[in-house]
Amino acid sequence: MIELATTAALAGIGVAAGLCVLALVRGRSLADRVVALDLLLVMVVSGIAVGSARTGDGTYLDVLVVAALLGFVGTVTVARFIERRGA
Amino acid sequence: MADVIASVLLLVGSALAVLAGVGLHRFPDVFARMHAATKPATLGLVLLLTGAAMQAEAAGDVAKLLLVVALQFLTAPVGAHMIGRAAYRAGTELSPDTVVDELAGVDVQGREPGARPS
Amino acid sequence: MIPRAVRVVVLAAMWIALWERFSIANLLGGVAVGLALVLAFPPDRRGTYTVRPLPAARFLGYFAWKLLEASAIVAWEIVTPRNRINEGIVAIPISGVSEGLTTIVANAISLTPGTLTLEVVERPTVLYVHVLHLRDVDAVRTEVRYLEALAIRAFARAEPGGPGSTSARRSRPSPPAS
Repeated sequence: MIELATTAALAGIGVAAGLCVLALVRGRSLADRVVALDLLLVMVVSGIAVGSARTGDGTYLDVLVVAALLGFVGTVTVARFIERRGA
Repeated sequence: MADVIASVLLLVGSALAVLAGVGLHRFPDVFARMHAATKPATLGLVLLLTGAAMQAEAAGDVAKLLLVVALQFLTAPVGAHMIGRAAYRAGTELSPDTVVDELAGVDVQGREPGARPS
Repeated sequence: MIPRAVRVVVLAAMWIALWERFSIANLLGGVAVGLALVLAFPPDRRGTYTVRPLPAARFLGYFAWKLLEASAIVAWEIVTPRNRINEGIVAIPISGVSEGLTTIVANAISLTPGTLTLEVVERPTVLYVHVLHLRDVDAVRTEVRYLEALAIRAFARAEPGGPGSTSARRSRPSPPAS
């Protein structure tokens, strides 16, 4: 049962990540792209977490914490860039 | 029983993630897209990681997943706010459906939002 | 003193969580790192606030419910074929008790249904909030003020005569009619 759920969850996350990449490519403005990137990072973090739940191997969870923090730093940095240079 | 709860959490979480992805394309305006990107995404992340934490075997794994959940709660609204503020200050056009704009022309810390910084 | 100790405890807990093992070495390492960080970045004196457990639970409960409602509303908006979105940016003056409290309210707003904080102006404290379904401006203001009232009851410092004092907290805020 749990195998099915993790597979389905990973499939859903993959679809969502694909949509994010599509939004990134479509790129209506810089703000749009950074929002899409932020969401993509959330998808990556979720994917790693569900993957580690599936295999029971918690090696990659350290990456999650770092990724979450760095993603936030990146978002704020780009936001300040937008403020100065325009979207 | 714990398996059932974890499975439900995982499924609902991934559904919310897909909804967030779709929302990025559906809404007409940068600010509306940020609504779609932050709210279901944060809740989806919480549900997915909680489901994964229920399946985790080591206590350290559970602690790390809960840490990421707490960090996401703290950083997601701030990130969305900063991008929204930056987009508004950079003069992004609002969608034509906008009804009311009380921020136009208000002086915020010496600089008018909507005016291009020189 | 107390807020600093709390911060050291939280940082030490994060350190231990990252090292995955609750041992004496990890505990001492966590406390050492926590102390180093707190001494290097001292908390702002003006920003100290208290946490009252029962009102804080009420605030968090309301906030969690609103987060679920927010996702449900956005999901509904995405799924229905015709999106009738009337956006708007609303100015909401709130009683700015302290910067920390304003931060809490502004962040909470960004996760509640249909609202996203765009600008925060200090003195007088006004929040400019972008709303996704703007049907009634006053309803949004009432919603935000209710949130703020809950936050004040939960977190504000008990200054005599200020909004956080016991006499001011005696009146219970009523949830807005939805």
